[in-house]
Amino acid sequence: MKFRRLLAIMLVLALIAGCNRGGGGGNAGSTTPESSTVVIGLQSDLVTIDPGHMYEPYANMVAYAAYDMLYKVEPGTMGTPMPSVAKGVEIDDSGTVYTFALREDVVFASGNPLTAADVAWSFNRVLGMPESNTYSSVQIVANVEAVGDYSVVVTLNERDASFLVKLTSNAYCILDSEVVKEHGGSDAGGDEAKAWLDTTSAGSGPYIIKSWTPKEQLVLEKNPNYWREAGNIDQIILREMTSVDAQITALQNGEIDIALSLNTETAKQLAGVANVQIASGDTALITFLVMSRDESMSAEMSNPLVQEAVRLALDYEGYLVLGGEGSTVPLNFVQRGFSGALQRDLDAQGRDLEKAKELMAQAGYPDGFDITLTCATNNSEGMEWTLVAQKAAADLAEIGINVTIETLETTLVYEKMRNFAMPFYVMYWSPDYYDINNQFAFLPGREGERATAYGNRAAWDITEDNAVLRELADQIAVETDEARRAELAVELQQKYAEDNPLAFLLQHPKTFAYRSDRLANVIYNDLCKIELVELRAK
Amino acid sequence: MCLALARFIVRRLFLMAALLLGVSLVVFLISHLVPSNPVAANLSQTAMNNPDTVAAYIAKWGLDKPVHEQYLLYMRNLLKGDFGTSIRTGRPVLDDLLHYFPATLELSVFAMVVAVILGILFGVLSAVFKDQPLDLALRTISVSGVSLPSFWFSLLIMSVFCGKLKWFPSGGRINPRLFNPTGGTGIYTLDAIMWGNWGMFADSFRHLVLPGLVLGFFTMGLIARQTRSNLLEAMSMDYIRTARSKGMGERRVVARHALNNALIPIITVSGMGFCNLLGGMVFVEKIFSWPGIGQYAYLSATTLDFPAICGVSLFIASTYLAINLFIDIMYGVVDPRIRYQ
Repeated sequence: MKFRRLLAIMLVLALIAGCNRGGGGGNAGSTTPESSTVVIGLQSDLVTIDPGHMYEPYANMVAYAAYDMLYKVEPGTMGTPMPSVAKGVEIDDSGTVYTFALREDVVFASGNPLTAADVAWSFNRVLGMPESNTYSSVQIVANVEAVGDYSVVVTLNERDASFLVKLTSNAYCILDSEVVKEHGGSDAGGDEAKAWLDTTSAGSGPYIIKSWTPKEQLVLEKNPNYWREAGNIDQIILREMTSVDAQITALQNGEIDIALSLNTETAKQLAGVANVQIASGDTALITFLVMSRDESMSAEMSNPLVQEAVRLALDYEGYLVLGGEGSTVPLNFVQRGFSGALQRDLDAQGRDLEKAKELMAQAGYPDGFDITLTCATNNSEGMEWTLVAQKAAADLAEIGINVTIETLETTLVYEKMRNFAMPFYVMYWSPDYYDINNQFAFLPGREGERATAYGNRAAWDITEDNAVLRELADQIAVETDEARRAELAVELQQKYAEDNPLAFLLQHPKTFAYRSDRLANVIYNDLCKIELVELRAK
Repeated sequence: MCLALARFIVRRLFLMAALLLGVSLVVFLISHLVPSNPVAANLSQTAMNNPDTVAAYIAKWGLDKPVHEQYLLYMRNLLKGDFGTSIRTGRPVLDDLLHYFPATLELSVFAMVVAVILGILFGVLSAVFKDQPLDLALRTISVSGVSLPSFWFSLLIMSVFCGKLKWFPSGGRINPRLFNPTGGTGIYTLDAIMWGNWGMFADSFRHLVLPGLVLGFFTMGLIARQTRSNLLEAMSMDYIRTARSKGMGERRVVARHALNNALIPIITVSGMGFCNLLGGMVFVEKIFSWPGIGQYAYLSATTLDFPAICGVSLFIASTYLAINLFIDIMYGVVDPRIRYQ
């Protein structure tokens, strides 16, 4: 009797454990053959898939799959724009009027042709949503007008050498205006299409968003009307996996094909695993320390001499180890891959404790002082901020700065940053668009029109001494000759290095892993992460 | 009896409404006392530095209104069945809750079933085989259940059963390569049964096993310990001795007499366990990538999404109160001597 019961239980368990290949039927059914489906495990934190509202780090992964822009980033580059829907552009002498000629063979997934009217409507839709995270990206556009079916004239508020680069981001996705209007879309403010665009897509990209279940998965299906050569993958599933350990196990077991949320440390668990390839790609992510110039926050830390001493006391080699292979230390605010970017020369500009101590003495703090370093319980593409803070505290202890680490929830750190309530904190920056112009957020300027993000946050005013930084930036912002632009960028960084309230620690790569037995042509691009259009199944 | 029960339920429902009002007020005030605000939590660094965007964002979400005005507006809408719109997702909170609820319900009910069945079974065996090796082994398991941190236990169980043995999938609710369930109740195992899709049933059940075990482990430990002690106490009573002296078999003595009388505290502990289970949901959902209310609650709290925080709090408080009401009703069912007052 007991034996029979045991046998029955074993049978049920075997059925459950073994029956993982299901049949069809019902509303669910089997979708597509397994071989043509690719599953990517990631931690995207996407809260919307409406291209007019997305700003999260993985926004463009979805946008590039489902939509087109006038220009897209060239695969494998750090933000180099290449024509996509636009055949080319003519820029007038003032540098503010861009006339784009559009391809005539582009159709939306709905079958509607993509015309200039769709481009104008899409840009105006975002301009009519000032509360949106993408609004800042399109604010440069003063007017957009369709001239005929396949020509668009965009007039800018001012010259902007980075405009073509800006066009490559999701803020400039071209939507099927006829379809979106049917679902509440508007280009004159009061748009109500977000709810609908959070369920599907209305673009002309290689894939269609078939379904999105927030925090669970996003299903992309091949667009049968795609106007370019399509890949051999019928379906791509972006599966939310908040645990890195779960991603690693799932990749080993073949449940997923790409594990995106790794870092150099966690990726070691996959070293030597058959059919698993560990890979990395350049990012434009920089991690740095902010030291406020506001004396009321900290008389000691606001002192420019102390801030230079901090930069000299940091063990940059150690941060490179934290960031893993492929990490670099930028001289300051311009990332490797951007125009004229300079790296810190670790022999000549590396750690120098003697000089740092001298500066501390000159500043009047030979015995050091106490300070609180705030950091968020966050990690930027695998880089744990608490680790960065601990390393900084250990480094600064060697010149007498006694650091107490304050760890807070990320939103609290952002709020304190907004309220200028921290003298010293760890922060990171990921650009909205891949051009040096985006980095001018690090220039001095606290108030008025010339205020910048970090000028403001670090209480760093424009003075006679640093006014040259702004002048150089103004030239770079509009300079279209790339060589001249790079020259100016070098000069700007060198001047910036002479005095600033930040300590730039590193730019680290993205680490991920994929099933080499199933996938080919896995290309990483920091803007759209994995280039889904290039991805091929083996 | 029926009239008394109906009166009891109505009175408790009124009390529940008052308690929910209190919960909404406390949650609203606490979330506004936190030294942060949704602008910092939801806008990008660039957008946060753009005065036009910040102003438009504040106006859109009514963040410029005084707190009491925001609360009154929220309550007025709530009475009309409108839970407001989530600042983070931009969708109606009720839609979000209904979206995440089936996953949580499926997991919690499964975990509870595991906890109750194993808890009572282990407790009974422990009591019957008191101080024997089986008792020691089961007590070790139940003590582990109440003392192991769920995040650690999750990682351990995942490493063994997914990583090493490969018996179960490492997370999620279903194999997305094979199934993309749409429509239905959102409770995949139930949908699979309704659609007669046994492959989908087996797959969704396999995904349910590990998070369900982890989640139910704590409650199982509580129930097992409570069952054992109550049963041992009941077994020492005179009526048990009488039953044995009449020649009744040991199995019947335990099942018919001792266990019946030990049930009331077990029901209480089960109810408490269910509520604890909702609290432990956040870790388990995160580690097993289970898209339920726990993750929604966590993200809403960290982004100071006031309408969503209030919605989740009211939802969990309602569940808590409903379970307590159910337990109170069950007392009367199990022990007819208990009167509803």
